[in-house]
Amino acid sequence: MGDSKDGVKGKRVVFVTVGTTCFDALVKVVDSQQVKDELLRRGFSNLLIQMGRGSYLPTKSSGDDGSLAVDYFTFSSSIADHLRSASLVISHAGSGSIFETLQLGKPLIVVVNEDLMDNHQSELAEELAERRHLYCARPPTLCQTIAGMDLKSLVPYSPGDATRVAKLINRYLGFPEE
Amino acid sequence: MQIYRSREVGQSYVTSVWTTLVATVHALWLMIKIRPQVVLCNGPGTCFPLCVIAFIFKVVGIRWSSIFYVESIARVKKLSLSGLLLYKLQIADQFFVQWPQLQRKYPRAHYVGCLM
Repeated sequence: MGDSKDGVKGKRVVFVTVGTTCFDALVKVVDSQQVKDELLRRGFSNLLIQMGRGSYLPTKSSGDDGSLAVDYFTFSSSIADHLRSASLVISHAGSGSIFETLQLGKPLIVVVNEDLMDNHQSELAEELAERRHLYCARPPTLCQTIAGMDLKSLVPYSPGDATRVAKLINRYLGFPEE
Repeated sequence: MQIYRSREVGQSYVTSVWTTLVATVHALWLMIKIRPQVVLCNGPGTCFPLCVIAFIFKVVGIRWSSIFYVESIARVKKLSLSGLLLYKLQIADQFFVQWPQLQRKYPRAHYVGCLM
């Protein structure tokens, strides 16, 4: 999990994404002094928050005084560029966000939204965390996850492919095997 | 091409009865119009009326469509409601899951690994 493409002047960006959801608890905790200090301590310089439909507004900061530079926006048509220029991604547990990040080979902390009823999404995050492809946290435990994480120990995720399904379907429909 | 949803995320199950009926009528119209040979679906309740109709056609002898269902990659230990119904009622001709835990729990499913 290298971070060789960090952009100008050794910037190390943490990109936070909540997808199309409202996840104020995550945005709030990421904007807390505790978490910002921890990110700074772990060598990050910038924090960019995609806040989706949330109502909590983080505090912007230029970071000129040596503190963490903080910026935010609600939505963009594609977060791929933001993911690509990030050194760390902190995401809600949506499968789209998770796999888009893993396929780009970026270190990822997935934060599960405890306010969601029927939280089947957490199953995916927990399974991938067990396989060491990412870290899994809840808003109250995010700070200690950041403090204790070892990004180099994460196992790269190999993208899946649909060949197996295609073969089984073809076989069932009676198409000749290739 | 758009199709009506049986149920929106978070919609109450009571009102879902009506919206499912509407979706089913719409699905019936689409099935007759398109007569697909293959129905391939990946999950949310939207696919359920289509699969039921294709299945009923089969039962009465109209063998237009094979039905393939791929459960969502986000379903690791438990099936979605659509998946559970299609599996238990044996509506899908082939049922695919992306995690081994589900294949162990639902042995008639085919484990195909993560598709993403």
